[in-house]
Amino acid sequence: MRKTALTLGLSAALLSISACNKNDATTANKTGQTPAATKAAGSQTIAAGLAADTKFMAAAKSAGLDKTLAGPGPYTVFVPDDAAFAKLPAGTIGNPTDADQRARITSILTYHILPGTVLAADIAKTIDNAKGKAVMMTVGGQTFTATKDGNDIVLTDSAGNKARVTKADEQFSNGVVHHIDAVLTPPGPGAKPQTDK
Amino acid sequence: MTGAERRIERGNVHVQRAEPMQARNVERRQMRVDRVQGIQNRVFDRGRVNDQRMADRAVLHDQFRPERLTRIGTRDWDNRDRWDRGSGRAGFIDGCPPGLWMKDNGCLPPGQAKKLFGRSIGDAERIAALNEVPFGFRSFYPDTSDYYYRYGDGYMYRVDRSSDLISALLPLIGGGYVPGMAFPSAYSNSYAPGYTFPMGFNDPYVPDYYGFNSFYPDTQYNDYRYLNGNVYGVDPYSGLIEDVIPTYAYGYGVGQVLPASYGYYNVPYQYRSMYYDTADNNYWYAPGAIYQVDPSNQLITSVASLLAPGLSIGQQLPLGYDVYNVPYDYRQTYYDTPDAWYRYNNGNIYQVDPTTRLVTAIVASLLT
Repeated sequence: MRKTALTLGLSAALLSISACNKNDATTANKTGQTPAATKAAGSQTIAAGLAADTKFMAAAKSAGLDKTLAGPGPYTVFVPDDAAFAKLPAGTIGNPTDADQRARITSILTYHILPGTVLAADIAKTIDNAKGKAVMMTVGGQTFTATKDGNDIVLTDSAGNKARVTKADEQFSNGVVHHIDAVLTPPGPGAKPQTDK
Repeated sequence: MTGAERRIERGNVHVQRAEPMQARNVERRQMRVDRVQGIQNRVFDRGRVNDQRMADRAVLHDQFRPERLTRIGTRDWDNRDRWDRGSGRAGFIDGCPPGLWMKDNGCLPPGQAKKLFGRSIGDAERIAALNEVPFGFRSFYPDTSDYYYRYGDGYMYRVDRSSDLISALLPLIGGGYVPGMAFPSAYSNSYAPGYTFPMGFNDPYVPDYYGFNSFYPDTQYNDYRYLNGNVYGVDPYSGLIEDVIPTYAYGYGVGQVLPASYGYYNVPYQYRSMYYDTADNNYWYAPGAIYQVDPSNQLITSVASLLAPGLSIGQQLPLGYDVYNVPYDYRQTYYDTPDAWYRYNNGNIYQVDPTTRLVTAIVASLLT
């Protein structure tokens, strides 16, 4: 009797293991994250919340960052709207099948992501504390500055380009999204636009 | 109050005082244990890598031995060119410096690949061994009616069909190894292992502000240097580069092949419960990111997590961390006060002293 129970238990355990494996595969395919990471990220992630047909998400996909934004994070993402991408000089966002251009896209995107959850009110408070100009560290390891213009928050990149926060504090399970009206350009060797072609 | 009562009361106060002290001592001891374990783990990992590297080298040495002997046997001993190139320079093998001869590309030094730009593909193939694009790369470098691609020496060469000229040179950062290729250890486009680290570059220690030093501390066996977005592992005795670890922000990303020597698991400890190797995916840490790698072809398929320049205890809060960034679920507990600030960084919440701006403690981990 005891032996039967043991065998039953074992087979049940084996079944559940194989079931787990199957689950692993399906979840990993959908979000590109491990089940543990998908669980930690919650259901309404940044990747799920941003429309896949926006230029930002298309660029994120080409740099492998769409799956990152489905992960636990948390991240604060400044998302330039499609009009902002359209304003860029031709060739700034090049062909993602080209490794050099993919590197460039990556450095631009990581310049728009901060570690942790930063709400607009937090930025405003920091600007006040820092006498009008707050320096923000991005996940790319570079900084931009934030200032206030009336009630709006304005971000300034290393080249002096400005982007205004148009819609703040879209909250997701793995972070927060702020929409901005221009694309910021990171400093450094990644920052040269495409010349050939 | 009698003398005895007073004594008892005093005794109680002592006990009350002693308790938090004990608790603190326990905590401190635990932290010490954790730290020591962390160091041991790291040393163990690195030991494994070094063993692997040495083993790789030994195998290659044996593999190439017959070929080398044949080459020496069939050498044209009257060939003045060869001897002019090699004479008086100890350590040269078959006219190539030791770091290059094994590459089987006519000892093309890393910088030389750039000279092939603009030349015809026929010319280039006489100088460097160019191959078909490895299978894992084909979706990223598709042939079109205008171009096709050739691969060699860590570069992708784009060939213009109309003129047969090499019209673009795409470095596969960090080496561009493909499984099955006999490359001994990592090399980069600028400096290869076997090359002495250039004079004057002894200075770029891995910068503190990037938080790399905590993950790449100098040891007896390895120095780490940082240059142009790559961390270099350098042998402190010979000055030879042994390892090149590119950073994510500099374009080491999807579509690239993880160099063969990076086959071991190195995900930071706080992320290990989340990113563990499975049959479908492996994970690899490089400064800036945890990568998801397809174990069947070592191709980087996505970025599992982005890691920011790290905070460490005892360090001054770096520039750019003034803004409060604690995740929602922790905001009730960890909010900034005049006595303590809280900042999120790479899975942990840190406490910061607002007066000295020193990072004083890890108060919570989101991942465990």
